Amino acid sequence: MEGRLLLLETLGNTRMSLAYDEAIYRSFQYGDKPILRFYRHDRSVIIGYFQVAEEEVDLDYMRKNGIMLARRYTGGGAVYHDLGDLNFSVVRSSDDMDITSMFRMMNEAVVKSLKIIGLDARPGELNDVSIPVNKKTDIMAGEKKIMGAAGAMRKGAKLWHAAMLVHTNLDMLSAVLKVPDEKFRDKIAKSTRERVANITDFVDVSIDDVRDALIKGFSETLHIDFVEDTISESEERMAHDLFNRKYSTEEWNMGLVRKEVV
Amino acid sequence: MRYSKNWKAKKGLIRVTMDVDGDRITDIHISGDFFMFPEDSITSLEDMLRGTSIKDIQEVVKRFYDLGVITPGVDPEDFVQALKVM
Repeated sequence: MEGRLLLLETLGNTRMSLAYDEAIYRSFQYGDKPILRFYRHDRSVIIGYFQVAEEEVDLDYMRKNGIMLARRYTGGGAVYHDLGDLNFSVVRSSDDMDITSMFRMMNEAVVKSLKIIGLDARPGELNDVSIPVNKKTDIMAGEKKIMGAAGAMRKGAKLWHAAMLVHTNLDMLSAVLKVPDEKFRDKIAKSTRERVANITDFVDVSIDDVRDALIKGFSETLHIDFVEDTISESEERMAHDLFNRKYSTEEWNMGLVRKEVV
Repeated sequence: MRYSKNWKAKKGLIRVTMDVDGDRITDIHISGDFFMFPEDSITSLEDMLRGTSIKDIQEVVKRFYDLGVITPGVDPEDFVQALKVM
């Protein structure tokens, strides 16, 4: 089967990037060619659909460090992205409403992809992929998270998107989450920092190497030949509509509204 | 009276802010880092809880899940516990 490979990013405008992501999922009709999209974001914190920004992230710290705030249309927790993080989305037809099986299959594809670059990873919890760490050299943690994912589903279609830490600033990542008390800031940042790792901590690769490996791994696992394509006119229109009515508004990004607007 | 509670489920944190007058829930907001499908059913749960008695929380959560809502890694009992704010 042939699929569409989209290299579609809007550096400097994370909110527009998320509008594109929702648009390719919303426009998708059962039976359409599956989509694999790769994209990066400049320094941003992206909160989950059910989150409220003020409860999760340190908005002051973000302002001081020039970090953008955006909210995605899928659930899960707040994440930090920068240009060292590789994001990718898969949209495909679906015959069921089983999200767990989708997470499992996508994790499998990621683990297979990482083997290509010589990395031995394993699925962590439901939507994570981790690296088993050699306990002889590192006794404090059995595994480090290198990827987190979230998903959406409706009748006929599913979306899965993930963020892979390739060479992200992990100190920044650990510092942006809200702390209940200023005196715990260092301690909480340290404990977050200890649970995550970059791919480049383990193997010497570039973002492009990781992307190429993922294209290969996903093609093999899903039996889809992904061919580079561009976004359609109607997808483009929907993305701009979503951006204007939703992703550009403070109400949406702060997590203060949930009603669908398009 | 306004009450807040954070409840840690197996996969996800549920945050509840609830205004209670006597035993009536007058307003409620649920947030967190869980997954729920369909996503916008969270507003249905809040609507169903608004105006009901805190004694009926378990029953409301059951009726909510009967609508076909899916929350991977979070059980109905997690929502019941999260909603027991007092």
